[in-house]
Parts: sequence; C-alpha cells; structure tokens
Amino acid sequence: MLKAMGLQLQFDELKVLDDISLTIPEGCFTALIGANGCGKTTLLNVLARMLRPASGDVLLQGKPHVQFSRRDLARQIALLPQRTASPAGITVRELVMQGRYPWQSWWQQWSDADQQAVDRAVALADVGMLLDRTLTSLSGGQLQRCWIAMTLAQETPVILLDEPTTFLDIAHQIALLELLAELRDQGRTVVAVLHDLNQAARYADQLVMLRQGKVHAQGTPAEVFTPANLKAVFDLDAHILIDPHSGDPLCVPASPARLRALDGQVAL
Amino acid sequence: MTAGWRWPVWLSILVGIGLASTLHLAVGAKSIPWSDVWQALLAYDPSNSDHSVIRGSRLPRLWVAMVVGACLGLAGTVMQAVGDNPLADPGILGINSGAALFVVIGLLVLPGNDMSMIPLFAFSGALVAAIGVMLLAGRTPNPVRLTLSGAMMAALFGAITAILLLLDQQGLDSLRRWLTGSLGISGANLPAWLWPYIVAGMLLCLVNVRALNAYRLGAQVASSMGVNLLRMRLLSLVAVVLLSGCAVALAGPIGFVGLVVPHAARLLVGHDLRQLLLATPLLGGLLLVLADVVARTLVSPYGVNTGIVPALIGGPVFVALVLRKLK
Repeated sequence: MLKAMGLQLQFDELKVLDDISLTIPEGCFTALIGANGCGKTTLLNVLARMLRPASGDVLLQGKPHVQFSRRDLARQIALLPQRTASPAGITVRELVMQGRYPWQSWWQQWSDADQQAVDRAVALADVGMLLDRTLTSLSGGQLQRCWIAMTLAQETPVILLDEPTTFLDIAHQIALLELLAELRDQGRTVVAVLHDLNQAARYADQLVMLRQGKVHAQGTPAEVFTPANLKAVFDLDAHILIDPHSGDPLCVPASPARLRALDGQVAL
Repeated sequence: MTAGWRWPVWLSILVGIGLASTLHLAVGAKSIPWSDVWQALLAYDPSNSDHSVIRGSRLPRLWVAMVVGACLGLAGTVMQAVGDNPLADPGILGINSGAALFVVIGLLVLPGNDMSMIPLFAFSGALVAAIGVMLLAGRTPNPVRLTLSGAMMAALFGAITAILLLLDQQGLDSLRRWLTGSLGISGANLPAWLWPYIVAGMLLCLVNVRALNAYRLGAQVASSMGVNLLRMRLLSLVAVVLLSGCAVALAGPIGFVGLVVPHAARLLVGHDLRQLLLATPLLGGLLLVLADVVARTLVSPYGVNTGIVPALIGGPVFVALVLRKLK
C-alpha cells in the first residue's frame, strides 16, 4: 500500500503539490486525472521518490520510503516516465533485460530468475517477435509496449505509469489498458496518469482528480465522475451517461454555444 | 546479458594489436627484421645492438603508446556515456588542455619543480578543467552547451598556455614536443608509480559499468531502477581525470583518440558498455601504436610528434565510419 501524507512541493514560486494526502490501495488500479499542469506527473515522481517533497511523506507498506535503499525501492516501485529515450544500438531484448537492474549486482549477474522474469514480461507485453529489433526501428505503439515490458521485468508490486497511452492509436490504447487491468488482477498495484476520462472511468478502480496541486476528488469512478467535478477540474461542461453495455459512466462534453442556443428548447 | 560477443571482431582486434606492435618494434630510424624483433623479445642477447635498441628504447615506447591510447580511449568512452554526448572527448572538452596548462604553470612559473611532478599537475589541471566545464554546462543536461563549454575551456587554456610559453622562450623549446603530444618525452619510460593511478582509473570505469549501461535509457529511467546518478557521475569524473591526467603526463595532450575510438568500438562490438569498456582501451592502444609507427616513419629519420598523427589518420577514418553508418 502506498500512502501520501501532506505532500508539498514548490518549483520557484509555483506550488505544484499543495498538501496532497491520498491512499493508493494495494492491488487496485488508480488513475490520476486532471488538467494539464495540475501536478499529476510531479505527484507520480514524488510517489516514485524521483523528487523529494519539501514536506510530507510517502509511506510504502507503512514505512517512509526515504528509509528504503535505492535498490530496495526499485524492487518495490517501477516507474515508466512519459518521455523515454530511444537510444541507438539497443535491441528490445537488451531494453527488457535492463529492467532486471535492481535484482542484479556485480557478483551476481544474469540468473535463471532474471531470465524467467524477462520471459514473463515479454509474454505479457506481447513483444516476443520484436526482441531482436533495435528501438530506433519500432513504431510508437511497439516502442511503448517494449518499455512496458521493461517495467514489467522489474517485477515490482507497484507500477507507476505517466500517460502510457499517449502516442498510441485507439486499439493499442485499449490493449494497454487491458494489460494494466490484467496486472491489477494479478495483484499488482497500478497507478497511471491518464488523459482519456472515459478510459480512466472504465478501467480504474479508483480515480484521483487533481486540481492546482490539490486532490479535488478521490473515489470510485461512479463517485468522482460527476458534472460538477468535471466542471471544477477541467472547466468542462459535460453530461454523464451510463454505458448500456458495461454500466460504466461516460462523459460526453457539451458544446457551450449549442447549449446556449438550445437553452429553454430542450430539457436536457 | 546476452548482447552477443562477436568473437571474430575481438580476435581481429587482438591480432591487429600483435601485428601493429611487431611493426612498431621493427621500424624506426633503423629498420630491424621481424625475425630479430622476435628474437629480442624471446631470446634477448645483450651483446646484439639491435636487441638492445628494441629492449631498451622501442619496447618501453610501445608500452607508453599502448597505455596512453588505452587511457584516452577509456576516458572518451566514459565521457560520451556519462555526458550522453557523442562529441565528448578529453581533448574537445578541454580536459587535456587543462592538464597541459597546469603542467606548464607547474614547470615554468612555480619554482623548483622537475618532470616528476608532471602527473600531479596534470591531475589537478584535468580536475579544474572538468569541474569548470561542468559548471559552465549548467544543471540541465544539454549536449550542445556541454560541447560549447568544453570547446571554450580548451581554447581558453590553450591561449593561456601559449601566452606563458611566449613569455618564456627557453621553456617553449623544452616543452614544445611534449605540448604537441610526444611519446618520447617521458624518456620513453613508464614511471612505475603512475600505474596505481591508471589501474584505479580503469577499475572505477569497471565499477561504473552497470550504472552506465542503465543510464543509456535516460537519467529518469536509470534513477527509477536504483542507479545512484550522483555516485555514477562522481566516479566517472574521477576516472576521466585520472585517465586523462595520466595520458597527458606521459605524452602531452593528444586529441582525437578519445573521440574516434569509442565510435569505432561501437561499430565493431555494439553499444553495450561492458564490451565497450573492454574494446576501447584495446582499440585506443592499437590506434596510438599505429600513429606512432606513422609518426616515426613519415618524415624519417626526423619523426613527427605522435600527437599529430591521430588527427591526420583518425580524421578521414572517422569520416568514413560516419558516412558508412549514414547510408
């Protein structure tokens, strides 16, 4: 279980995280949503200890995560950043194998456990046929799946992903979200920054809505996904429908101009 | 990891070093037949003058060439890896010029120093230059700014060195050969007490290899996998200072080896740092041995300074490699 308590962080004068407290339950898929610049990425980086908060604490299994060694933390939490490099001369196989970094040491190089973890990650992310390709030769969707495979090879109970669906077409987005849901079903804790609200509402167990460095709302999609919250967080006029097939809430943005034109004529 | 070892490539590198070394021992002001070269190595006869030339002057010079080449090749590789910059090189980033400037100051300006103090001056100069370049390059990684800062540092240190030498004609005469990179300057001998620094520099590279490999995926990914970036950068800095300092102390500022060798090595053995850190000292040694052969035969019997040759032959080879890769 990952718990943030009173996180504060400023870049220069700007308060990026303003007293954020939240609980990320174990074995759940949590989606962080909010407008651009609301602190989602920063929060994710603080949860991964890539950034130190000015005040506040992050607890991992009840222990402040500053008390973990770098290696122990990397065995608990994996982070897939939003922007990843595609260095020249690296094959997909080498990339995925790098995910085993925190499990290896100078005197203990490649082990059977490492190989099994890589095989599992490759199978889960479905990158088996790409293993001998170089990163520079891949399409955006393939590349993202390879990076996911590397993150999975790290075999951490907690996986943090920053906008993993960006640059993917809709089919790959859904495939990726299905994969994250599958990881959740295996008992892993998944936290992802997502841009597509409907995808977040459909796949996540918990939504965390951030607004100007604060948690605006937190709870199940049904609790959080309200027109009032969407208006407050995104300044968006929207209707919430229920997907007749799945029962998940769907947000349908309204056009303010048309709303005004229709005002009084149609009961919405 | 099974990045795959290209055994034919490694074999050719080793054979190349063997051939180049034999050639290095055989040619010079007086050509010595290869059979005599082998005899001098395997069955040394002190009364044979050819044997004593090989044992007494050419073999030590061969060692210096190999060690200097290895140091520069390694230093360049580490700098390119940690600076995430394909143009990094102890020459281009001003490390060599810093070391050279401090050696010149130490020998010409400060009283009472002799040649044995050269390595200490070289280390301090390399360190000052490296820190200066890093301060100028700023906190956010920016390859262009890093390269420009280095080029500026190199120019600045070069200019100060030139001024000092203009003011001291006698000093210029005694240091001119050293300043263009000469393997003959250290009396063609490798001081035994320089070895600990060289070995320490190489070991630091080795300790760092896992972190450097992970760092290829970017600072953020490496850090999230448990790489201590600060430790990695500090170890790299110390390694580069030791290796470049030793190279400058032995042979003066020799450029280009640290730039071209890592690129050649990547084409030959791939991008895995574990293989690169083994291949670049070998290739660096090979390049400098060949350069020294050319230097000593090109305008025979005078010989030009070794430091001039890497640029002369390395430049075209480098362009050829790049062009082949672009195709």
